[in-house]
Amino acid sequence: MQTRFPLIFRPARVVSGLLLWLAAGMSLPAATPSHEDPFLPLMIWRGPALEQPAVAAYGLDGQIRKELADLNDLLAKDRLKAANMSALGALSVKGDQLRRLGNVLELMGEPAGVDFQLRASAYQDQISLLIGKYRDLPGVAAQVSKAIAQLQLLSKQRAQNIPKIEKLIQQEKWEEAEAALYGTLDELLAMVVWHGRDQRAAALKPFNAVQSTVTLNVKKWRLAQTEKALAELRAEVVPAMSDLVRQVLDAAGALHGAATVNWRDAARTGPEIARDAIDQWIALHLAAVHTRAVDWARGQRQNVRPPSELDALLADHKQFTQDMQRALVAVIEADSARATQADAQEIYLAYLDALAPLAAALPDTLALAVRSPLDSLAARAPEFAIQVDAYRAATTDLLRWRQRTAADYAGVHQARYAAIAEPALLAVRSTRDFKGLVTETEKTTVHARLLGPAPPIVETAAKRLVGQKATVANLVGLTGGSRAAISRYADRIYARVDLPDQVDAEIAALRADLMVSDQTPPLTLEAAMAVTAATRGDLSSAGGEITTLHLEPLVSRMVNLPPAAWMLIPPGDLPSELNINKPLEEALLRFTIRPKWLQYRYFFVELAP
Amino acid sequence: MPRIACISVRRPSTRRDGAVLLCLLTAAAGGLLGCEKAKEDVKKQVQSTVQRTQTQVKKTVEVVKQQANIVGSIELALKEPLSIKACYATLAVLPPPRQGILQLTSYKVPDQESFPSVFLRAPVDVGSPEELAGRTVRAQMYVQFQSGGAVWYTPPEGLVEVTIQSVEQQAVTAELTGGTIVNAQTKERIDVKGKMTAVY
Repeated sequence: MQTRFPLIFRPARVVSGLLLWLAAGMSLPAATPSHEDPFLPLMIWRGPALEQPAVAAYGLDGQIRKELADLNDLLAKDRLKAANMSALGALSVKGDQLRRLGNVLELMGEPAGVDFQLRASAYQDQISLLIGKYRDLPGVAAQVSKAIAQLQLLSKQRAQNIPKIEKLIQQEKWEEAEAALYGTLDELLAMVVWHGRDQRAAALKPFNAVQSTVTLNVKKWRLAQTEKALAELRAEVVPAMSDLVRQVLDAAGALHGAATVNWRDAARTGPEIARDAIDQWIALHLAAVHTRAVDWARGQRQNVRPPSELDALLADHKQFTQDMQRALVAVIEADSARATQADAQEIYLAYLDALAPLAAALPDTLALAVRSPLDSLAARAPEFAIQVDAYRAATTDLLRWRQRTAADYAGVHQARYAAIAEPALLAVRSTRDFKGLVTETEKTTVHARLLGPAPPIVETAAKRLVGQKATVANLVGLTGGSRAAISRYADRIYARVDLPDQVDAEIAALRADLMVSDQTPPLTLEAAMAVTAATRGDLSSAGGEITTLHLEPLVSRMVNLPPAAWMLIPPGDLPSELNINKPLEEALLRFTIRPKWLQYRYFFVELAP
Repeated sequence: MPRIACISVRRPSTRRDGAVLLCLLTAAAGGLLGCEKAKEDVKKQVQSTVQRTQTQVKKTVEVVKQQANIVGSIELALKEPLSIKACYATLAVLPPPRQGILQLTSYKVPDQESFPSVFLRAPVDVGSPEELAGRTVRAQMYVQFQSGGAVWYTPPEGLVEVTIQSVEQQAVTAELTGGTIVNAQTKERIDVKGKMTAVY
């Protein structure tokens, strides 16, 4: 079958891309195939130890593409005869080397390895086609026939190295044995591609036994190494969730008798403890996401899921989410039982400030859970409690109408923009001539995975998607200084939306409506959440033009999920993928949207063109 | 921190069904009343807040019972006349620097909302409903004719001018003398005039 690879050859861009990449000191983990450079390796997640084989594979990949582009150019100009015959054989060996490097990476738990093997397979199809065409050129068949004696001689010479390889096998020096084997075989492999099946089999026969032994054992050895490393990694990242719950409950117990208690070696008030506990909660949640991804990688290595650990993590995480809510409620209840008329207001306002960022990013469960203890706390100062009631009466219905109006606006705009999952599905769905991320019959991108090499998938998807209009929903503002929002991970898709300064006027109007200023903080959690969410950049939906597309491996993305993007998977959830047979093949799409409109929960912004 | 006297009056029977017929919150801070004597008065008021609130609830329930047949009305001259046989007032008064908020709605509480639905909200500098009489305020307004239909709302430059004609017998009568509302779906604009008589 004719592959689509010639369509994507961009030798100059690849070389310059690599140079830029290295010159910029860009680390491999940050790189992944994109609309700008679809040839980059899939995101590496295991760190520097894996960069060497990944860089080697990437370099080899670039060489093969360049040579193939030159050969295809000659073929197109009917000048294939001008190609160097031995270079064509050597190109086939480079393809095999790329496959081997890909296999090493895969055995070490790197999704990039799967992609390099798929790339190598596609290249070999191309190379075989070119060799076939070259062999059909006048005079070449006779030339090949004459070379049989040369092939037999080389096979005999190289077979003299077999005892050395066998010695390494005896010593169980598997990597050295592998290096020695292919150091011996590669030249022979470059020659056999020109010959028929029988001649090939005869030339390679002396090596079959050692090759089989080395391949089997080096694989076992690498798997054992990987399993050991990943088990150690899991032990490092798996979160001690119940410890935090216990600490918060202990603090709550102590707060019944004092305004401040010892928390992490310092005297802290209830709101300070709540704020720190929420930070810890998010960190542990993130660690649970990381652990889950490590478990996927381990499942791939063992070719089975480690169900007990996965299931235990899921159950623990679910319990942890519930327990943390209860523990925070216990802290507030302790303060409300102890607080005096003199300090209740200050403590209440401090709790709103501490709770609002997380409560705004979660479903209503946390806000509902803390409502009653917060009311009890405010009631310790009756005048203040009445003030809170008045404030609630003055703001709640307004927020309801604001939300309704924003949704009404958005409904009109959403009707003009497809939800991003729809065009994404069409862009990555396989066809007879295209191996994408889902099969021809799949109706969603929920099980997106590499059905073919990444570069043509990314290039095809980019052509179909970049510049198109789309909507994304359920976004949370990025923390850490970026003025951008990121959509929750769903359907193997997430998107970033940069937020323009134009939204400031609407945020100011919301604050004015809620009578919030530096001197007058919000008096209800609902209002505090409204202001926090708007300021952070939380969006119900956004529509605009797709400007970037990146393909990321599921495992690498989740293992590398940075703290600033914790809301990609909100606390209370873990990535929903359960039955993944080949996790390293699983992929997701990251987009950037240049917004035309933004639906905040309580206002809508249509941006000027 | 300014001292506040607040009276929160709710009808127990309506609380059961989720309705808040009246939420009258009277705040009186020194700045608001403008003299030390007033501050002292406020202080005294504060000290008896809870007891007076209970008393006021009982009184209000009686008043409401007497006026049970009064539900207010809304008459708006929009593209087509809009007439609603219900209108309710809420005044929430907060201590400075916050302003009080007067809200006139076509429903007692959101849970009992029916359509057409109207929501009007204006910041006011008063300490009691009675002080509203004769004042002109600028209000945000939202109108939705059908459930799930387009929302009409006031843009920042089109706030509705509202003159409170009277506040008597537990009713606020307000005349809407000008303003604009915009259709969130079509961006169509229409002028707003009319009258709202809201019970509280």
